[in-house]
Amino acid sequence: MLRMEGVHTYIGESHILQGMSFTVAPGRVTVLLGRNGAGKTTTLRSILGLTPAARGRIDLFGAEVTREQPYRIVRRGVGYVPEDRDVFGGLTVAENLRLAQRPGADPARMAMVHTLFPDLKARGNQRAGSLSGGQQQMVAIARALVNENRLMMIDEPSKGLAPVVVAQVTEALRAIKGTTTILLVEQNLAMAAALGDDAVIIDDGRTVFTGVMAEVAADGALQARYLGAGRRGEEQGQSNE
Amino acid sequence: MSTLIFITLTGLALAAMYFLLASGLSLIFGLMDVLNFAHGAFFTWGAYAAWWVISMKTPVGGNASTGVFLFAIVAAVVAGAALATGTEVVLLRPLYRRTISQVLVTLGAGLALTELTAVIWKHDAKLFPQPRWMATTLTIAGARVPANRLVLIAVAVLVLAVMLLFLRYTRYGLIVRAGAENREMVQALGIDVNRAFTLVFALGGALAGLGGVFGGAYFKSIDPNIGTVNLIFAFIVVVIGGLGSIGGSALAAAIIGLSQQYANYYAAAWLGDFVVVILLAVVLLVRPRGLLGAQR
Repeated sequence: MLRMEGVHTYIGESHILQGMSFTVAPGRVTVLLGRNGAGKTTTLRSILGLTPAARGRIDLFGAEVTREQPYRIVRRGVGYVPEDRDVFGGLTVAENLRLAQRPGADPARMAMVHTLFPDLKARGNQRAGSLSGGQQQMVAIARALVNENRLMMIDEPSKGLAPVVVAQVTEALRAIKGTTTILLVEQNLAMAAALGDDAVIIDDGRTVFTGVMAEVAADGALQARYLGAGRRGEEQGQSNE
Repeated sequence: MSTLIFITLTGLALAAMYFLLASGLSLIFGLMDVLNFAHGAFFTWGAYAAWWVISMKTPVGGNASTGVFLFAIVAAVVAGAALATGTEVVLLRPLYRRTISQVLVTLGAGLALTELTAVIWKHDAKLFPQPRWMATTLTIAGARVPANRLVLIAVAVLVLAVMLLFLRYTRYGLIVRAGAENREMVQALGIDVNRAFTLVFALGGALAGLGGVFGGAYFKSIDPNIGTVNLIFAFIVVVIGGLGSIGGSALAAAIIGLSQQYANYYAAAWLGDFVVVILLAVVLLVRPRGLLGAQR
């Protein structure tokens, strides 16, 4: 489905990804974990070509996409939910979704999105910039869902949201789990454990662990060493329950 | 009263010409963050393309027929759009994200294209024939107003309406509005932003070419610097109206055109341009994002 092999990516002079390698299996939710600044967002951006890899190889759906234009990579069937949501604030909710819908997309997808997020249908004519953070996150996820994507890349969907909203977002992602492959970046261990099948931990731009998410969730030492999480994750897990 | 009406309609006609030039500039900057100093040359080439078509079919000193004038408009629009497309594809596309290089290359292209008109058609001004009905004057509430001013105003209003509809109701309009906010995210939705860039550049060039025809009719003559001179005011319109805002450009063009004419007539002939610069300074100090510009 997705394979990164020895990928190096720079932002200006900074060497962010220093030989990243991992694979994402079809139909599963792979969680990308790591401390702040480890290179999680850059990994997603490199896959999409937004911050192109300088060296290494990225294969997507069996084809190399390392040097491909972002829009071509997305058209292969990738949905992207960025870290800061990046909804178009001056456009209405409906316009945000219409813009995201690629020509030839199945109209039933829009109906599915409205079923999943009924609030977005009610607020269709509202400017996206006037929505709350949680509602904007719904728009960002919905934008990726209006097309039948083979891979969804979701960057920190819980970031900056109140626990009750995090729970709503988790439920929405749980609803789409199994319908597509998901690569999820998430600092919130409770959310990661609730959704993830597989886990990849990165540290200083390198892969340091690949395995199943349950193993990470159960290994406090691993969390403490690479995530600096431990208690914070447990507390978040309790607050969500 | 008739003088006031005359000055007002003349000011609005001038504003309409500024708007035709500024609206393309504003769209280009809004989507692409490109300060296009070649835009004035598209205006000049539009004017010369129209003049060339008209002069081929019109006796010296005569009036153009309406049919020839309409064909001249098409020629001007095509010339502006073609030059703009060429500039974007050949010169600017390799330089995206290199702001200083873009400024320098558009400045150079503008100078070269302007100089090329002088090489081909010489520096001296050319009389710009227009249909008899456009050159005649109409009496409005006692004021005798040249019909070409009213036509220019009507064309600008029509262009404003079409552009607002385009931006609001078409997919490319959505792409332009979204791209002005966050170009990278538009790409991340699977949209070929480069194609949108070319379209916006071509649209801006076409509008500049259209402005060139009616600029020629307004001034009754053209010379190679006609675009450069008006480009300065178009940039001021874009800044005062708000970068990327078509409605803002229309509003700012009206304010500038009217201020220039009122100041020139009621105060001193040299004061109009000075008032425009004062207005620019005030807007930059009080509301740097312009009258209707979005926070960037």
